[in-house]
Amino acid sequence: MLKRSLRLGIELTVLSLLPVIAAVGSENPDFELEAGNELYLHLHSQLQPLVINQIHSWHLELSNAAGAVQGANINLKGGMPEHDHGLPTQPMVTEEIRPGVYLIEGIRFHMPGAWQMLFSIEINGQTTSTTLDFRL
Amino acid sequence: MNKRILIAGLSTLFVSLAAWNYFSIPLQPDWTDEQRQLLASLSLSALPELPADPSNTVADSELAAELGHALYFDTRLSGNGSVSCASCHKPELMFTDGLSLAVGTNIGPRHTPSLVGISYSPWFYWDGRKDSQWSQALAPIETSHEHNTDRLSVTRIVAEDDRYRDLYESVFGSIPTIPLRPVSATPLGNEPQRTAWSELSPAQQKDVNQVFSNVGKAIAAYQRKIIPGRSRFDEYIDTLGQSSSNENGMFSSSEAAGLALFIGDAQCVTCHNGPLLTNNEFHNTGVLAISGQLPSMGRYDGIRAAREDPFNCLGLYSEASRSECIELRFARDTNELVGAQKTPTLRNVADTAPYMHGGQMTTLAQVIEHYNEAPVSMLSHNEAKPLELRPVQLRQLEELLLTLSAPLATEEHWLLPPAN
Repeated sequence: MLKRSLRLGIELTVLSLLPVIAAVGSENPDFELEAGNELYLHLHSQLQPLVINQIHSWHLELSNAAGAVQGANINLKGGMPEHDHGLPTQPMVTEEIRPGVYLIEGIRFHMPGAWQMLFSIEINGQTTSTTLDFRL
Repeated sequence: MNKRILIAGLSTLFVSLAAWNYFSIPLQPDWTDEQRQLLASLSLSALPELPADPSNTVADSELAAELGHALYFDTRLSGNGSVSCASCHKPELMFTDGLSLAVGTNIGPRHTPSLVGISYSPWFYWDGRKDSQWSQALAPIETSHEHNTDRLSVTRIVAEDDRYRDLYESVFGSIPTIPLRPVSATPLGNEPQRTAWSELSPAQQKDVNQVFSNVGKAIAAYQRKIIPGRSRFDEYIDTLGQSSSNENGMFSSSEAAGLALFIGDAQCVTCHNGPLLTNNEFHNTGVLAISGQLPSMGRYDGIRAAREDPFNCLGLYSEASRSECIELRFARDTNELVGAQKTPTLRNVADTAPYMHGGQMTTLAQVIEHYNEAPVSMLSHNEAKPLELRPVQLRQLEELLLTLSAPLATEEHWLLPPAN
């Protein structure tokens, strides 16, 4: 019975992590997410390793089956649900530095623990949202 | 018979209560790898080089620090000739003053924070209303309850004092001509001072502001020397890296238990993290308003003041490019920041009582008890949640905090007024 519960627990944990396809952790700060509508986000921190208390930028690569997605209007917010507070900064997409690659400036994490980043992506009037969960 | 049972029952209850309050749960024999990694991040061994301040190109100049050192201790930079930066930020008290509320030329509204390691912070003041150390250094000079003087008077002192003038010109280049009249002028002072300021030409105002901002930059260069020294806390953590046991002899079992609580159930490390034991961020932790004052709006007002400040990173007197002013440009200003005050360092915390933005708490025990209770905030909400720790655990935390005391890493001569 205990074994079965444990197995179920592991399965549930694996299932909950499915949206985050790539490795998650401070040693490997690359994340990939599927946002629905076959839209993919590849996130790369410009701070390596990704640590707390340092302001830095991320590159967000947006693609779908047809390739790079240009001209998207991206908003993001984040926080720590366990502590009931948001990010210490207000990061923003400031530039599309290459076709489909967006610069996010002003990211800082100020606590160790479970973080969440929420992306809202508007393409041709249609908005798709997705959430990145990770720990620092 | 019934009496015996009653006595036995009461005795058991008494012993159980005493054990609950005063006896420790045995400490786990070993730290986990995850705990060791977290602990290593708290040691001064993990402290990086001081971050550059792109808004102050002389931040790491020795000559600028020498000028700043002299200015820091100079009581001529005050309206009554008796107040210097060192009056409240006393080197012998870890750059605090031991008072609840600061006393300059008059009593002020806030507790004097320590300057130890503060150069690592992107924000200054309890409410973060300044975004650089040099810009912060300017404000008390013109605040009526602190130095109570004005920028024109200060620039005149620098221009007329031979030693200051020589040092200034070595660091910043030639000093502009400072007008002989009016005697005092500032856009922030009393009405005569503001009128006098408005009567200066724009070029004169710019010259005075330039010299004044350079005074701040020199003081900041000096303050960057104020760095914490290695304590028993660091020795314990660093020795852990070489041993597989908690028993490395550097900590008592009570101190080690305190450390386990610090990174565990007491959740101190959520805000007091990194080698300086601060995230330099702003949190509402339900501290009572300062007696006789309305509750402080904290960072909510502070970030708005920082954005309006002519001496901020994006201002005329900053040497940073727009792209280097990341903290200011991407600072959050939401309602969550109502009542939020800056997390102070815990380095040398036992030497810097009283505590909190108004010095509302006089002992570490009171501070720890405050976080154990996590009372409802007078404004907005308390981010902390009640910890429900036992008295013995509160004492273990206090014992841990005492291990953070150590002499500064700063060279001795910076801690004394400069020899004339």
